[in-house]
Amino acid sequence: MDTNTPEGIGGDDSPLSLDDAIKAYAAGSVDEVSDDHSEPEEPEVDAEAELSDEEEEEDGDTQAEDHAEEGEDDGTDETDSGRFVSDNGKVKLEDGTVTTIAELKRGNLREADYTRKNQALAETAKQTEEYRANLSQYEQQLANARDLTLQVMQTRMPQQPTLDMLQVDPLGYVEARARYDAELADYQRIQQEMHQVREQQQQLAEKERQQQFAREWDTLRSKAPELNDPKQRDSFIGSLVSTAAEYGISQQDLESVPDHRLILVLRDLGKLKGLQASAKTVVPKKIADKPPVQTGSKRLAPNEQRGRVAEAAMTRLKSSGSLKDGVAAYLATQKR
Amino acid sequence: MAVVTNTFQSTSAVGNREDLSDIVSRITPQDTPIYSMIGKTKCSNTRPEWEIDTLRAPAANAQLEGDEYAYSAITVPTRVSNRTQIFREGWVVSKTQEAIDNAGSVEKIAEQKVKSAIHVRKDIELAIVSNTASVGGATRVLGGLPSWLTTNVSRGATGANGGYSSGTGLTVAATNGTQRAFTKALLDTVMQSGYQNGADFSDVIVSPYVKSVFVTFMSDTNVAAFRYAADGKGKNTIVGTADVYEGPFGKVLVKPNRVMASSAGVARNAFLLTPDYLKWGNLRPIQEDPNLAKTGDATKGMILGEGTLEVLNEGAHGVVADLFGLTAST
Repeated sequence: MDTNTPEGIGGDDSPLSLDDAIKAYAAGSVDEVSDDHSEPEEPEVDAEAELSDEEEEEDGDTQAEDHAEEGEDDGTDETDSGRFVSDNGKVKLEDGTVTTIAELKRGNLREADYTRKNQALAETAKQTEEYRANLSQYEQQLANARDLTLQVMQTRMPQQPTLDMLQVDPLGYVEARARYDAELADYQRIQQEMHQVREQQQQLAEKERQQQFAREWDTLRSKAPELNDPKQRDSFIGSLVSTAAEYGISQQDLESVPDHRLILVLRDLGKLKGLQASAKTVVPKKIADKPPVQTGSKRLAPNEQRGRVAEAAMTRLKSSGSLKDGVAAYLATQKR
Repeated sequence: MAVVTNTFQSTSAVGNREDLSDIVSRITPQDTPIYSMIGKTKCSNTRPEWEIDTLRAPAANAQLEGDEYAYSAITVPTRVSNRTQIFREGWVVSKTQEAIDNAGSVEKIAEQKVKSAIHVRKDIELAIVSNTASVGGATRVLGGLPSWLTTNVSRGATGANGGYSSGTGLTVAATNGTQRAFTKALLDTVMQSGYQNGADFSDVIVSPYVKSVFVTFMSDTNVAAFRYAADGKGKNTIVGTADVYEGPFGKVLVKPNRVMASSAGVARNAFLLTPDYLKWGNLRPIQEDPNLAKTGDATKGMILGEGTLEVLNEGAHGVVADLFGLTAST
């Protein structure tokens, strides 16, 4: 059989016809196959257990001793699917520590539980965020609907009856007045609700902004430890404001920036500008009393260099008058 | 220290080429005291000429009031000349020698050139101090200093001046007289003569033996003994030399000239010089012949120079001739 053939389909070693394969696929066998693949450990454990049983039968005491090392003989349980080590069996981990099976089980359960809860929490947070987004959308729609309602009400609001009408048609005036008052009350109630909703939204936005600001502030403090010191914090903020001011960013603008990254950029920019400014003042002070560097106008041309060498040789000859220096001077002048 | 920008310094000057004669003249200048001391000039032909002007002797000069001016006849300056002499020295170094020599071949050849040039220089010094008459023609000979001197001279018995002959345009060698020992009196006599004739002697060039004789002048009864304090702390020195003679007519520096020890002929004269009135005229400065044909398994070279002695005024110089120049009897 081909090694790539799914075992669930060709498990009986018989060739599978195309129709059977389609039926099996339609019946979800493929899923089962994939499930089998996703959990291959269990059959292998069973196989090993069976194998160990067989070997135990054949080898007798040897296998029994091996098992005794992993766990005590009296701690093993026989089940239908194989032999299991009891909870108080000990195992040695890779790092050398010795622990019990029970502890491993508990650890396994704890980890699984932790993972599961984490996943559930993440799922919940995701759902909450979606819900919140939807809710905010609904709120916006509702606000729009209220606005529309208010506009409609405003256009259809009856005119306030005049005092002249009271004299001409007292009953009509009372009726119109009552209708007007009722409409006005409805209008004002909706308007008040709108106002309340807006206030709530503003409060919520403000709260969110404050929360975000607090989060950014915490992050900023973790990345800029100097902020934890009150004295350094003042100078930090001072340099930040002055640096921002150089680029036309006011302090109000700066306070409305809820992003610690931009603050860090501004801080580093301020430091850089400080270094540049100090380099202009410190370096001249360092070289203030030093003689000027003789850079020379240009590198001497080869013939000029030879001329200098010849000149030095002639000077040496003049002072010594020796034959050796004379020969050297002659050679140097010939190279000119 | 600072140099103004664009100052043209000698170290930057590519054109200030020192030729071989400049270099050679600076090597051991004490070897050739006269040649090294006197100025150098250029001459444009093989017979350079110059004029010797003299001042009139002082005379009584008292004139009548309202007298008409009288004019003295101009004495035409004497025109003298000397002949250039060709000096040369060849050298050859075998290629094998170049290969096995410890020093680099370039240095070896350069040393040969320089040494040859020094030899030429010494030959020039010898020609200066030799009592040789000038000779024209193809093999020219320059008139040596002794052949010029006629004014401030002290000669032995039967000695006679040579001098410049206006008729031939050549100098005549002096006639040697009987040799005698160098004495303070002889020196004083010539110095007095020079003083009276307007010379300002500054240097006395003598053979090494004559220098040793000069040192004994300190034993003369008319010479103040010079003494040094021996404090007993440092190293004490026996002083057996004197270099300066301060006589009745000035102070002179006495210098030995080893070229003058080469023969009795040149050792017999002690020259008293005013260096400003002596020049060496170069027709061709000491130089290497650059166009030498390459022949054989060797590197060859030829150093040559051509020039002459210009005695601008023989009265500025003097000579104590016919001395024992090598030993007490020669």
